[in-house]
Amino acid sequence: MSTIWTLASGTFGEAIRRKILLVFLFVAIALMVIFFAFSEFSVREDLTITKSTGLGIITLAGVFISVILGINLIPNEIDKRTIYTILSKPVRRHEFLIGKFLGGLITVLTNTVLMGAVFIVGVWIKQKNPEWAIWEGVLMTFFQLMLLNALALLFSVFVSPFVNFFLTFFIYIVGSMSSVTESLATPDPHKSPFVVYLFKFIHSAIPNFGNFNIQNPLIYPGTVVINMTQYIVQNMMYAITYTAILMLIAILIFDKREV
Amino acid sequence: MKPATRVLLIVIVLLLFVPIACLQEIIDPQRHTFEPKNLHTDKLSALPVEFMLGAAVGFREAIAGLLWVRTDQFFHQGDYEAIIPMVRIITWLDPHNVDVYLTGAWHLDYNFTDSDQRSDRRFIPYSLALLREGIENNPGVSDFYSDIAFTHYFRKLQDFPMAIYWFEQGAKNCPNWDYTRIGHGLAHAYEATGQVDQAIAEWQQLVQLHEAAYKRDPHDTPDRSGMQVAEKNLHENILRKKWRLIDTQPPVNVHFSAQLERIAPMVLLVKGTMNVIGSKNFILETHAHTWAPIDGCRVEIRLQDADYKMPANVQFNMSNNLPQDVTIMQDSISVRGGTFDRKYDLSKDSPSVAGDKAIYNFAAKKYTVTLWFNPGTPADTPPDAQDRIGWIGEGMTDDNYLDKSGILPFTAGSKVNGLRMIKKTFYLTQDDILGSGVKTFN
Amino acid sequence: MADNEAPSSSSSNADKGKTASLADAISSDNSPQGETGNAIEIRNLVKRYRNLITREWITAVNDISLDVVQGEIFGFLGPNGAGKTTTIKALLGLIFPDAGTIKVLGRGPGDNDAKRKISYLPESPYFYEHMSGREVVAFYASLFGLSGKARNKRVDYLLDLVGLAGAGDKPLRAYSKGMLQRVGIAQSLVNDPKVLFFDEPTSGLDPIAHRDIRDLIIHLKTEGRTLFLSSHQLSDVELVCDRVSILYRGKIRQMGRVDDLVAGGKVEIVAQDCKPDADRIAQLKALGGSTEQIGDDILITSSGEVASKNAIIDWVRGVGGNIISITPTRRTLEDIFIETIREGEREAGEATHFVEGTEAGSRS
Repeated sequence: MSTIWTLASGTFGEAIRRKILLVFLFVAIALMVIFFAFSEFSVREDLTITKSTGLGIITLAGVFISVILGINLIPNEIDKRTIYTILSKPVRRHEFLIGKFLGGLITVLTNTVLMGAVFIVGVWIKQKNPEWAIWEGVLMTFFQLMLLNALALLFSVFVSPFVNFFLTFFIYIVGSMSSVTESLATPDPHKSPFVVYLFKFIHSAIPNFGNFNIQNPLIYPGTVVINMTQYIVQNMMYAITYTAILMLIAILIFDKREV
Repeated sequence: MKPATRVLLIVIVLLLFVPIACLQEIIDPQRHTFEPKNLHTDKLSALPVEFMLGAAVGFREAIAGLLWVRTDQFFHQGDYEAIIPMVRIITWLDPHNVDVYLTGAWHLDYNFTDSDQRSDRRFIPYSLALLREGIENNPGVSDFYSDIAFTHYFRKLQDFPMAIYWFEQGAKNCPNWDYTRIGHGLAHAYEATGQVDQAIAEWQQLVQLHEAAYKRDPHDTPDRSGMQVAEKNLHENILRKKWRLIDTQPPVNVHFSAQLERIAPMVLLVKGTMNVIGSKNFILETHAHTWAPIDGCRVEIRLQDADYKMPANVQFNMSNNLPQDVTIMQDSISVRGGTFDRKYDLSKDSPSVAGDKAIYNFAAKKYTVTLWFNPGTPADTPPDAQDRIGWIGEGMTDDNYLDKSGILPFTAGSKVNGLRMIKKTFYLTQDDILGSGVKTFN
Repeated sequence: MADNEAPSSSSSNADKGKTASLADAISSDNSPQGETGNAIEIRNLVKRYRNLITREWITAVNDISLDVVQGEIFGFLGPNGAGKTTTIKALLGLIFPDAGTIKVLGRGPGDNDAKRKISYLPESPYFYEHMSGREVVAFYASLFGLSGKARNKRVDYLLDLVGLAGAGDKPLRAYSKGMLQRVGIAQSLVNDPKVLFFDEPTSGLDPIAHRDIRDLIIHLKTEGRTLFLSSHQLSDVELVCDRVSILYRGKIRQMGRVDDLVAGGKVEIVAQDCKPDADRIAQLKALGGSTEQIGDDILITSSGEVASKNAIIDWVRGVGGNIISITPTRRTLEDIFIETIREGEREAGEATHFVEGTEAGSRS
């Protein structure tokens, strides 16, 4: 396992120094600071907009970071041929893949935690008291990004980064519209059974990123009645299981991949 | 990788989709509690694409919030109609933004008025629909219940049984019910329907609730004043109950009369008499009082299409499909010195004068003009009058216009047992209203 | 086509005794079963690629077989596109053969245990640019499970060995090509490998760096390591390699000891007044010489070996002739290489109209 850890920390070190990821991080933090300085709205609206925007920015920046990281992790190693000296060492292919994935994941985690910390401090200042529950939103965002990262990594094993970018984003957007896919999957006299089954399949099989968006219950804690701990745990299990699926498929494909 | 291992991994991958599907089934209903519903509506096309995309990727509440700020600007610019679709979109995007429902409903109730500041009642069913939707999406939020009960049923519709229903729902469904608004409102609604014992019980409970809150936090001014109010009302109700049992018999004859005149096209003149007796100086503790005719009562008047019934189950939508050809006007006239009169110049808000901003279209062929006096309505009957004519008119009678059915006018059949009300209805035709010259109706 | 069976087996038998004692000198920990076997065995390797643009199948490696014994430096030569890198990648398990078998230290290609004892220096290697030289070597050391003090010690030793002790902490982007190559060598030695695969280790280097690396390779050989060297620097190869093979268009055209291949050098002896009888002519033939009459003179061509040369001189004297001149014709590896390639080109040119169905393993 030290092999995996060595690869992960090497990947993390490399990712942290990549300018484009830093750009997203800084832009996200700058946007949040600007938004927090926005005091044009009434207090109640201000907080709603601020909290929603803050979490939305963290998610969006996180999505870009995850995708760009994920689509390039493996192709970069192949293009730059660093993979040759690594795979000629006693590194099994799946160890390589998992190590790269973990390194990318730690990078995403670091970015998310940084943005989350800035956000919570900002809300604290605005609200005059801390709202720790926001970490739940950040946690859910992280698991969403883990799943996205794994998806991008899987595709990177057999398509080019260019195609991967659009493919991953497409699935992300469809997966975010969980309510739409679900509603299209409900039987209806006007709908053909084929369409219903198709969307039922899509809704069940596609990674549902929309599950992780808990801004609403966070912003309206008294209003929305939900067992948050249960919901979070279920979604964590979902994310971990789906990530495992994606990684297993990636391992199966990568095992046959010539470099 | 050995072929056997490959096959095993493929099997594992396929099997893992089972817990995924199961988890999704469990997660879906929970997600419904905070996501927009009803995706197959016209709302999807109403917003620009970037908003929808933004909403999809996690900025839903922020966009709703920004739209609400924009809506506020519409309000300040006086563009009242534009607010309606905005409220629809925002409450659809963010079903838990309570403020928007409440303000939207208030807006519909109060901000559309005719030239004489009487509210345009065609909007009321839609504001009710909006609040009902708000309750459906946020069943535990106290403000909805108090608003729907108080604003509509109390002031606008005077439907006290329905007010009681909504107040009770609020007390039942909301873990943090606002007992000041809901509790006090409920007690007053009991009083308005003559259910004095229930009112007294409610006041007693409220005194305890306020007291407990005040003890927890001695700086809590609202509970301190709430406690004082509840104590006062409790005390007065107990005494009033005792005295009114005696004082309201025998019933006094109020000798109600009313006359309606059309004095010009769409201009109506109402005149009438009602001799309500009440007390001039009632001291509750000692029962010292003197009965005399008093001012302060109000007679309700409502002109509407003869066959109009307020629709009960409309949906709040983008444009509300306001029925353009329905005419409703409601007002209350104060009774002074035993008489009342008022002129209603409805031509100012008719199509010929107001164009497409007309409120009174007079498109129907037949109309009713109803005058009524409900002694239970707090806004229409001061307590001094009730001291003689009773909580719900048990101390009042009239030779010609006494209505003992108990059915509250222009509600969906809400009934107050034992209610004695004065009611007179005039039947007019379209020509009666639009005709020129003077015409008298009896 | 060279006869690659007999010479190699005889030379490998001679070498086996030598490698056995050298192998003892190297630290041997859980040695694989191929300890006394061959370091590398390739049997009938075939690898095809599909050209993405023309959609044609190209046979990069077309049924090659070779053995490399432990302790030898094996030169793997061929022009660009001959299939050298493809073969090396197949040996390392980076790509997968379409046919044939490969064994490295007795294990299949890509076997993890075998990888503990081998290393690879690719052509123009790349490493993580954000790391310093020291960090890169430490990274690879970690992949072998080294950590802490043991790792640091090894890294220091290696950097010193390759002459980068002073520059170890600079980031890789500040390194010259020569320094990068040294880093590459350091990482290739991190696990004290038994078998090293070097692909163009001296390409693009200045003469001093070039010399250093060549010396290093010789030093590696004295340590008893096996080196599979792919290079265009034929002078280096001639100097350091025990055996070479020449690959052209996916097929091995020549293979054998360097000495044997360049030993094709002949000697031309011009003699006068030779009057051999039939017995004497038969004797000359038996000595391995070929004759050509040039007027009254005979031109005898024989192998350049001293014994054979002396025997012919004695024969000439024996038949009463006079030696006019003795001219050795020396050959270099470069000569062999160019000859082989030319021959291959000729064959390919002639064979093109036979390509469909005749050339084994290829499709058009």
